[in-house]
Amino acid sequence: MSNQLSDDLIKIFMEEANELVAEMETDLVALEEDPSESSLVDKIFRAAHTIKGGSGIVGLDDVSRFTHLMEDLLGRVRSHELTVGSELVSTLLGAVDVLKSLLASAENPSSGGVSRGLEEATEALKAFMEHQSGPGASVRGPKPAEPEPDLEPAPQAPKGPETFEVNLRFAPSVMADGTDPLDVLLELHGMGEVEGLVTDTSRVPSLEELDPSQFYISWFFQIAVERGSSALEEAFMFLSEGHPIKFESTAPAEASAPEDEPRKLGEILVDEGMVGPEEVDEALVKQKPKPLGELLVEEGRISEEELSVALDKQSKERQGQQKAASVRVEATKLDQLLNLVGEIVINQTRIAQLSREYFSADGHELLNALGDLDRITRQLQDNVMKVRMVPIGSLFHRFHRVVRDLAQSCGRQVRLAISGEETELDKTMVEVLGDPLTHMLRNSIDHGIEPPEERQASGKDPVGTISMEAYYREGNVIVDVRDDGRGLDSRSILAKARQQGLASPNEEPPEEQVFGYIFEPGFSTAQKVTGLSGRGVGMDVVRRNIEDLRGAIEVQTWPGQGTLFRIRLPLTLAIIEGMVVRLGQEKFIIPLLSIIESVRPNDSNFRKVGGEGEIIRWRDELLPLVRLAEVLQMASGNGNLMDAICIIVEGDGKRAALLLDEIEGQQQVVIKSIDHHYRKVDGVTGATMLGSGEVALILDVPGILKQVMAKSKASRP
Amino acid sequence: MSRAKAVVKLNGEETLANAAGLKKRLLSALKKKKDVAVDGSKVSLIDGAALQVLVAAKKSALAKGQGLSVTNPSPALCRLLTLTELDGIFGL
Repeated sequence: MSNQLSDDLIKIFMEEANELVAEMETDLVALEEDPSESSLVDKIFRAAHTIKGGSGIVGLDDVSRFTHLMEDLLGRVRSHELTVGSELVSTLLGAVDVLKSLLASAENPSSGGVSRGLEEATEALKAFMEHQSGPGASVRGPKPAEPEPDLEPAPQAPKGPETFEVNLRFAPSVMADGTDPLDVLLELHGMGEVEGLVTDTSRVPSLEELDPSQFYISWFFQIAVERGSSALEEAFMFLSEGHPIKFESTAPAEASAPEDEPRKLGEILVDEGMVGPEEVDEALVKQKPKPLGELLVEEGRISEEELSVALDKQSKERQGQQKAASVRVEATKLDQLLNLVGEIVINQTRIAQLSREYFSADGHELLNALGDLDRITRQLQDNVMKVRMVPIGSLFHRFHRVVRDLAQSCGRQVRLAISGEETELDKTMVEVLGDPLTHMLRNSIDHGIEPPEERQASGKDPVGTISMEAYYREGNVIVDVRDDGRGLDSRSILAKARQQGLASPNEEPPEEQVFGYIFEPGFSTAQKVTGLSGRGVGMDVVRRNIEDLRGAIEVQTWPGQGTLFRIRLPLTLAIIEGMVVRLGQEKFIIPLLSIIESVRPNDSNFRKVGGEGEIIRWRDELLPLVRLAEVLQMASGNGNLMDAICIIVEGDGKRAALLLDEIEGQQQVVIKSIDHHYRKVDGVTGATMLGSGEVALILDVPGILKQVMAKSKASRP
Repeated sequence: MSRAKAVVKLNGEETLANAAGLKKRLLSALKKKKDVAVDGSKVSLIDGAALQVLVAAKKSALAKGQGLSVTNPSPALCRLLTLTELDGIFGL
């Protein structure tokens, strides 16, 4: 295998494995809540199996060995030799953690050698399997003292042969990875007694049209196996996903096909009342060499039209099933695509401007065409942006585990309620949101939710609830994290703020401002460092993370009833509505979100204070006047203040008036980062290209305000 | 159509690796407008890809009104065609 190929393989494997591990985690927590949900066990088992197979192929032997153990243990759960309990789930969650670190160190070999906990986790898994009672042993595991042992053997599943109907059909590309479909058939053949085998060659094209690398033969047969369906499933395990293989037990109790499976032609015909079930059965017996439909037509039971209607339905149902299929695309490729579309938008605007200049009178058709192009380009841009959107659900579900672990370690009982999982937002945002949300959950569990006794004493459900909800509002995505705990205590927050010098001792700020202190750097009311909160990584980091995403966070609280943190995020990171302004020869963009309004300074509203400072009266407020030229250290084109214009801006709850030369108009701008190519510039978030082809810097309003405030504080005696 | 048959001799190993070659040989045999006899006496290993080429060839032959049958199948080939119940269509 060439290096490039093996690198690519490892990359694909890693992506898949990380996804599977995340799913395993969610499923394990869900399983703990509902131990009877055997489909979850199956899913977790398949995940372990897939990772095992994949890691073997890319040569990650320790991952492969470890997942093999997990698979063994899960296999015993599937065969009802072990029952699901919180001890089992904890062991498996521990194993998932080890698996994560194994994967992480494989992905980044320089990060450190042997993963911690591998040995312990291996031992724990083995211990679990050894403890389970062997055949004939009727006593529980060797820990009889324990009140609720997990290891109680489940009631024995009835043994004996079980007959399955198998529809062995492969994706045409099955042979690409070296799989011989015939081998799969032979392997199954060796597993039990096969009856009624039919080789379906109807999809094989003529020799002229056949691409020998694609496979179209499928088989249908009944097989009686000893071990139950897991044996069959295992036989298909090594096949990559995407093969429409089906098998179902013919035993009446278990013959429940999943509802979303497309119906068989016979079922459709019977359901539509075109034929009776007996007629289908009769035809099925004779079907062997021919498709069922043809046979029924031949025998005059249904007409050609009826058949084609039913076949049409069948193919639609099949298509419906394939709809969920998706393509894995690297995020960087999407970024490049989005960038290019951004360029198109810019150039398109530029051409439109130029053509308006050149063909002012008789260029209607050209202008019309350009108008269409404009519409199409924006649609394209919207669509490309949507590709980057992912549902927030994948992120939310990660928190089941976080909440479970945190609640356990602080002796709380917490239920996590999730809604709005389908709400989509930019992939980057979903990634960045992980940390702040985790921290907010920590806070809610550690500070918000009371211990069960305390809750009970105050007449609450001993199990606290934290709800995470996402939804759209006014062009924003809102994420609410709400707990039904004790609420924020404004007095202790204020006391702490005074202690840290955030508020002066005699100041009695309004409640709103008091709650704002929790977002200040270093603020923590935790009396002791618990490992959960109080580690100095506080809500200030949460706020910073969210502001980096051009979002905002606010808090509301109800004493004794709970707290709500509301995060407001823009739908996308790449495009903003901006105001184009001129300062000297340069043009800048001020994000529209930061702008309140514009005023012209005049003798009645402008004041100089204390020699240095300048303020402007706006409505009933006195706002500091910020000369943008000074902040950006450039020469202003405008000497006369009264010819200039002020834009009232707001950021971080602070307001100021930015003084500049001229407002040119409003425009959608595509944000391009300049950090990569240049360096981080204070007061500037990025750059964009205007329709005229000029480059304009996008101003970072909160950053500028912070800079100005810091300066004015420092210059104060 | 003349009684004489165009003969295609299968190799010891007919797999995905040489399926394209098998397709070519069968195509050129079919072009001779004669019935085709596929000699399977030497086959020790055959996979799904090769089996499918044979099935496709049979389809093409049927469409053109030509015959195509397998002759002298080796035990391996015989077992496979019996197991998949394809022995009938190849005249066995």
